[in-house]
Amino acid sequence: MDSFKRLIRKATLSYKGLFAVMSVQQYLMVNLGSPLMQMLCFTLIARYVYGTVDISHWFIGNALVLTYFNAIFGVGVQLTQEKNSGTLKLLVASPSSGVGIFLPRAMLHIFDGLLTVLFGLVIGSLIFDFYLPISSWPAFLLILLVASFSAMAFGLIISCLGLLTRDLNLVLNIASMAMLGLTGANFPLDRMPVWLQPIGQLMPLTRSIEASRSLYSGALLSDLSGILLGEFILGIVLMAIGVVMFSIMTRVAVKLGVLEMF
Amino acid sequence: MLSNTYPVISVKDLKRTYSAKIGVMNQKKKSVEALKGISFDIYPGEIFGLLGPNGAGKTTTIKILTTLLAPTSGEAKVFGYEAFGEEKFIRHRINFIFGGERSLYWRLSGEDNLKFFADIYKIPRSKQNELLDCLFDEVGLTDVRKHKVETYSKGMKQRLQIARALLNEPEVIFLDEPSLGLDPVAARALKKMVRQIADQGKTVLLTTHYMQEAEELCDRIAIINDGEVVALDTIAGLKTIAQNESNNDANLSLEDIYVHFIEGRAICKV
Ligand SMILES: Nc1ncnc2c1ncn2[C@@H]1O[C@H](COP(=O)(O)OP(=O)(O)O)[C@@H](O)[C@H]1O
Ligand SMILES: [Mg+2]
Repeated sequence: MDSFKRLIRKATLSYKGLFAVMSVQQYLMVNLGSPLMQMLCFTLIARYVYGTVDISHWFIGNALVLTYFNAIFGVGVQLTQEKNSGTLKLLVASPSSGVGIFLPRAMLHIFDGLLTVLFGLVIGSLIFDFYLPISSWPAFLLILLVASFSAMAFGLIISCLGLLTRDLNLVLNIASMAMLGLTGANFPLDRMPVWLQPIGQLMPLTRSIEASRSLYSGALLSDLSGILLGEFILGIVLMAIGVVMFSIMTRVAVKLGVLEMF
Repeated sequence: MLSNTYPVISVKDLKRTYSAKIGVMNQKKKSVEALKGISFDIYPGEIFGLLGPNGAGKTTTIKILTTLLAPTSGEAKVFGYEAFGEEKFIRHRINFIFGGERSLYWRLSGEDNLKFFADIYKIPRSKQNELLDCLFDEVGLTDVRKHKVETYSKGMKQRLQIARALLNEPEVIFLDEPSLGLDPVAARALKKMVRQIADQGKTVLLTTHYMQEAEELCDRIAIINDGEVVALDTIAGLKTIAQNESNNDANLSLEDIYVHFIEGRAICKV
């Protein structure tokens, strides 16, 4: 029980301490405004390119990919932020392991990311006539949850890179571009260069985007369970890689003396 | 005098070299030998002072002992365990404060900061409320515990750091320039707290540039210059050595002694 309570409080406090904004207006501007604008932009480009064709396909992809915002700018920068606030050393020198330190931090971002996507969907349904029958919503929510989970797991790996590099911005940009470009959100995966396709399959969100599009086209959740399980397992694997990377990279940083360097 | 007790901290011929790249295009590796083989032991319950000019290697020493930096060679042991390699036997029994105002979550209240670290240190929930009340009381922040840290003064932030460092009831506490930038009143309050910590039987390793602080607090002092320990004794012992070496019978202050070991000897040698 204690460890569960700890998990919840570490999750909320680290979210509040590093990421959360101070007011509702600010939340709407920062955490919703910019990702939603981006979604509109890409979807409108798709409308322009594909003309009169129903663009819901692209709209769904772009809505799901919004979880990248929390994954990269919430979870991905967390260890660099700890460095900046001088608290990284306190965490590293504590008896808590990597799991105890940085997994809780990803938790609230999973829900925050999900919320962003839901806002995106509402806006989309107003602008693009996106419509999903009520009966499909529970399944859709489940897909979103799994998608957000695996996106945050990816963010954990990114955050570890912040332990050793001072050019995290470069990493963040590459990671954002990969999430926007290689998950099938904006470009059909099967038309990408052959060598890029396997990378697309290793990216978070690829499977969720495919699943939600199928759901929109009328597939049942039971038809999608395999692909959804795939996304979930990918999330677990990414998370495990993140935890191992954290312990290896803190050790390397302690050896090189760069734990606190920017 | 303390030969029948084991040292809590034992440092033998400890060396640390940093390598830094300089230049942009033609990057050259430049290495800085921050510690050139220092040795000292610290015994249970001592307040041990580490004095020396900027860049002498004090922070490097503390980082190594707090498991945040690996030695290049030599030995750094806390409770008999290697600070690099056996850190899991050390971490829950120590805590530390580095000078400066960072190392807290400014957006959180003082109370939330302590709660967060109490969880990080896995302190049972049943103990936490009482512990936090006690600590806020001890550092005199009870009436502002719900305020955001960004509204605290430098002295208040430093006191919150102390409370944070006491959360896990550490047996050894490392204080790296804790009084940096504090006004005299805040510095005095801090001194009192360090004294209290020592009175509870904890071992303290302290660095400072304020001679009076060192004089009032420290049982023994190591003076370190350019990565080497140049003197190590009680204040009375250091005084005797300095008096003998400089043929000066006057009543030397710790500042005189410090200057003697950092500068005086070098001049003598020339
Ligand atoms: N991360 C680092 N990389 C390169 N050089 C460093 C690093 N940290 C400290 N140094 C150098 O090591 C020496 C000792 O530094 P430090 O231990 O911080 O001294 P002090 O705390 O006594 O002022 C200094 O010359 C400093 O410039
Ligand atoms: Mg220093």
